[in-house]
Amino acid sequence: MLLASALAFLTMQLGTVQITIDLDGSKALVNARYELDGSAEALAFNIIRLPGQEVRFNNIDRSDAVRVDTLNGLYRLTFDSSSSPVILEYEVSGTLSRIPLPVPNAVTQPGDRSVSIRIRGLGVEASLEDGFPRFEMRSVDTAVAELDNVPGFVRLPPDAGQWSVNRISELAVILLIVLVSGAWLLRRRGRDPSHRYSADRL
Amino acid sequence: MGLTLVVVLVVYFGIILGISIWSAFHTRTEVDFIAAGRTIGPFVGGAVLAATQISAGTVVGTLGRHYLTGVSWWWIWFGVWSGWVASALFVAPKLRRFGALTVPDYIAARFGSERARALAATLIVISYSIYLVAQFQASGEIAFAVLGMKPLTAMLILVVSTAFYTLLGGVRSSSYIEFLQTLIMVTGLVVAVPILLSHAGGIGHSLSFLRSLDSRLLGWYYGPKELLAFGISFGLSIAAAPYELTRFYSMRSERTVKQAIAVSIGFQLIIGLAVLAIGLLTRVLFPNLASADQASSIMAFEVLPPLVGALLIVAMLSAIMSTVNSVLLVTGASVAHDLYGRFFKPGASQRHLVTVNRISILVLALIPIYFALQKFGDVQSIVVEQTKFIASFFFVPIVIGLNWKRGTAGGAFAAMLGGFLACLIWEFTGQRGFGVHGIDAVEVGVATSLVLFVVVSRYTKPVPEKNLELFFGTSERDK
Repeated sequence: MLLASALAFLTMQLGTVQITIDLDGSKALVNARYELDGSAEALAFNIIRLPGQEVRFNNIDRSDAVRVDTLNGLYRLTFDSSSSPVILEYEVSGTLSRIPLPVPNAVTQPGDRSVSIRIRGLGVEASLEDGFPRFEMRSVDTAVAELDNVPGFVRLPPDAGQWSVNRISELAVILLIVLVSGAWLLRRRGRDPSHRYSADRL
Repeated sequence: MGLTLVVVLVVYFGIILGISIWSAFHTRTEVDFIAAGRTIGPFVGGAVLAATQISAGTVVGTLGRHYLTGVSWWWIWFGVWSGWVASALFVAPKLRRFGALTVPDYIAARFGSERARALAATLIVISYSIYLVAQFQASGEIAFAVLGMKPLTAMLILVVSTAFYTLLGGVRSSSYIEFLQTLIMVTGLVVAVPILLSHAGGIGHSLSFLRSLDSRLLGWYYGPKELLAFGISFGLSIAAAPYELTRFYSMRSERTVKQAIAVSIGFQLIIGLAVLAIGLLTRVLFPNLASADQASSIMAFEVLPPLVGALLIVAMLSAIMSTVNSVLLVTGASVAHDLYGRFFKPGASQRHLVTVNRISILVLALIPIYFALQKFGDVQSIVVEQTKFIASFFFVPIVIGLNWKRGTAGGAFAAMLGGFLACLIWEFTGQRGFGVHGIDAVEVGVATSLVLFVVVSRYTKPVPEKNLELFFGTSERDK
């Protein structure tokens, strides 16, 4: 079964992927361009459906070659046939903390960093380390992430100054290290010298 | 991430170096080297057992398997824990009471046969070399995904650093280091879960997405028969795994061993749940990775904040190193103590045996690298194959042999060889896979081993009473 799934992908390899997200107030416009190597007969994309959000496809609803299935948790776009590059455009409205991205059933070559995601229109206060994936600012309002794989969505960075799970978790780790080290030192000070090499006294 | 990872790695390897050097000063005899002077207590012992159990197979392979196939793989943990419970009830106390240094020591003493000892030692070296292939392959995957490093370079660094602390301090340094590694693994994995959940935006729509992506992810990707076979492989191999059993020898008493197993299962439960959650959430974040084995390293490097990500990468390396270390100790002891010391130079001094042990460790560490570079399968598949072999040739002579007096040397020899060959033949002659018979190689191997053990024991000379007294006599009182 695993082998069959793997063989289905063998016919297709993703070349470069360029995704641009333009933020515009209450909506986001996504343009995603996929270059494919090899046959694309079985090409399909999965797009996560997020609560409080509406996705409107601009350039594919009218196409006979594409079937759009709306499932509970995702949209599935299946191409009867397609030629490279494949370009998908859609508009996301509603809650915009996460922007869904089309993930193809073809994979990239690991190590190539061939997936590029660009967000335009970010606030200057955005705290990039709390977004997903990890972005870098390239200009005043544009952030870019370069990856090996296509993520299921982009989590827009929140404004700086907010307490995020990332920061809390890093603090928790530091606190834990301090506590364990402290406990170990206290235990060493109070231990019985006759058992100084017992492993349980660590 | 880059600088944080380097700092965390330097601090981590610095601590390992310190512990290794300290331990080297307190390792003078073979008992010190192979059994840490029998001083390990329940908490450290439990952490050590957990670190030995949790390998690349877990943090790379199992996590990748959850990523690819969803929750049903989690059922194999019940097989793992059944193995631990069987070990605690039927194996560990008797082996610890016997007080041997290696599992072939037990085979030789229980069945009164040096021939059986030699076979056991040889099978250990073969099967654990396969296990090392999985560990090295995983280290290559992580190093490539995180650092862009060539897999061969990563494997050599792993071998050198692990062999270094294994060679210096033996089980004593390993026990301290593995205690530390378990704490790092638990912290790194547990802290990662809320971060991933926060990125994914909650449980509800993550589950909804996974169900729509592939309904089997939250249901039965594997059927009950397949899971049963996997569970049997893990359970029976753990009940009789030499690298776990050797750790019992380093503990203070029979009671300590049982307590340590309970502590170990606690650690494994936490780690198992965290690995499940991380595998599923990584699928939400990256629905289609090129290789499921990359899931853990990509998640650590590209999703988590730098400190947590670095900690998790260290945790993964720790898991690999602790297992490589345990396996090297067992295979090195098999070569030096059970083969060289018994058959090639019986009167060798303690110092000479320790030197041979160290050379064996170095050689046995390097050979599997070649096979790891060939990538015969994903990490979890290689681990599963190895567990099938261990269960097929060791479960019966160890678990049944410790609890059935009538088992003889001939029976044990036939059970080990027959179980191994049956598993091998079933696996590599086109019989594998449930589509053909619905019967797995481990089931064939263990059944063959059991039948041979019982039948051959019935028709061969019984083991002398003095050998049986060691295992079926009165239990020592725990202090």
